[in-house]
Amino acid sequence: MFFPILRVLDLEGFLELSYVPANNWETRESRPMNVYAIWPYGDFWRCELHCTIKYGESFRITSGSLDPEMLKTGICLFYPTVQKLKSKLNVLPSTPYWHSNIPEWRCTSGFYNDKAQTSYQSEIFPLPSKASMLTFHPFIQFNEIKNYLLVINVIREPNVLSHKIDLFNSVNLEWHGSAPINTNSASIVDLDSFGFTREELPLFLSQEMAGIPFGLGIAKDGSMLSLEHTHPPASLVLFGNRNEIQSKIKKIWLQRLGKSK
Amino acid sequence: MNKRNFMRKTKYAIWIPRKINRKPKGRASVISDLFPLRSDSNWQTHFELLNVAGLISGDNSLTQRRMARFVLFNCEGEKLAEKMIPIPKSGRQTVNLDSGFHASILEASAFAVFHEYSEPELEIGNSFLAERGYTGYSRKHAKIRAYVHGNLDSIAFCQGEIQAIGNRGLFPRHYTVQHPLRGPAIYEFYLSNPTPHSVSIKIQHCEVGGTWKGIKHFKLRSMGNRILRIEKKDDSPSFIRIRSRLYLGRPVVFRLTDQGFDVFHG
Repeated sequence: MFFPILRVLDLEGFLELSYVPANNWETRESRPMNVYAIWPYGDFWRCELHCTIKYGESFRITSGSLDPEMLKTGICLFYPTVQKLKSKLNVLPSTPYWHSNIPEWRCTSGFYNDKAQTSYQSEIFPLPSKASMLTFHPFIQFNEIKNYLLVINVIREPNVLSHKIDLFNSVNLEWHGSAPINTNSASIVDLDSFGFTREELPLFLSQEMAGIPFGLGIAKDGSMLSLEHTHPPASLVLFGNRNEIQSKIKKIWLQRLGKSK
Repeated sequence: MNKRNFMRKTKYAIWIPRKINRKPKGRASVISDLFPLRSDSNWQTHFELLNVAGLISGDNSLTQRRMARFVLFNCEGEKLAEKMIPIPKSGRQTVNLDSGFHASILEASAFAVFHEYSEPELEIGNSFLAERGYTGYSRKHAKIRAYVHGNLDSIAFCQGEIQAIGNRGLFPRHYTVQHPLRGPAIYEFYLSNPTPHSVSIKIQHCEVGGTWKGIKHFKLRSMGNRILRIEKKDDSPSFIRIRSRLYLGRPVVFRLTDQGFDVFHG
């Protein structure tokens, strides 16, 4: 499990990393941890010891305090471990030391400017290198705000590969355009340039790359920021075989959109 | 097995077996979160209404009228009112939950949204349609909103009956909010009880390196809710945890500063 710090547009990113589990019954881990910063660097992951952290401690990292090289793709990962890691890795480490299920062990990631801050509870597991993403974005805002789609992707391998995301009207399936998104990156798409209206529900589809999509809103005067992720299709139902239903929903939409383009 | 391991496994066995939610009783049930509703003089609440059944079926174009049932609750978990709203044909409608929405809105502090659909149109097996959608909050007269998605899958609706589907455990457990408090800011923690029973809640606070201290103790009725307000004056991090029998006592967090606010699920 990894905890991301991000930097996009002219916003600084921050990460509040806390060695405090969410519940008192799933994990007994309390050993001091090495916290490594890991970022993609050509054919390998660069890895650097950032600090050590003891149980109960918490610290804040800001993007401005990091070497710009570490945030070249918009994302740098932090990984707590009892191991010592080499400075170059071919794949991301796979052992999570901070781990819980109800809920996932998370930290706080977000953005800030000189007037406002926005955050979400963050954790990221590497995604399959070949996968797809389908989501709907119901909270584009209008007037005094700029709207962006932020797509976070991390895969185990260090490659930064470029793919595309297509944007549709979910009712009439009209194609509004496409934009590039990258693996091992925080990709930004300017949504205001695609002409969605306030009554439309945009649908975003990437057939080659999975990711965690977010709606990012920035007040034009910078006085407020808003960040929230959009749901995967499995979130439209509860109980039963949600993975199977997610596959089914994706398949139907893919078939319909394939015909429409 | 040593004594410590035995104790740990016994505790684990007691705590683990049940899931966060119980399956609704009726097969035709639909599920909703209990969404925080802020309708006092400082706040506005907005809900993004979508055609959830259409998104599942892969066809978001409505050919017939379909409705969503908005239900308002007060802080004691009592139902105040309900209102049927047509699902928008265009794909999205922002529903403003203000006095124009319903006269009882000022007494309400939570709401749920139950979608109507005909069962044969969705092939979802043993699953249930769930509204876990997006609520936007804004300070009065502000031009933009901060959005947060549903936090707990709390209640089900079937043939006129509302059922709280959250589970509680046999013993109290801790949930630590996964966000260190940093000031200067005012934090408001919105807690709700998704179980069918009253639940005792103890709120504890701890500075980094310090010990946990109780700061509030109250009871939440089934489907009831409460906002806990904490002023954090300095920048040093501290933590809040919730001791209760709730399986997942996760609050929605509002962080207010002089310049604005942030909202997220903690």
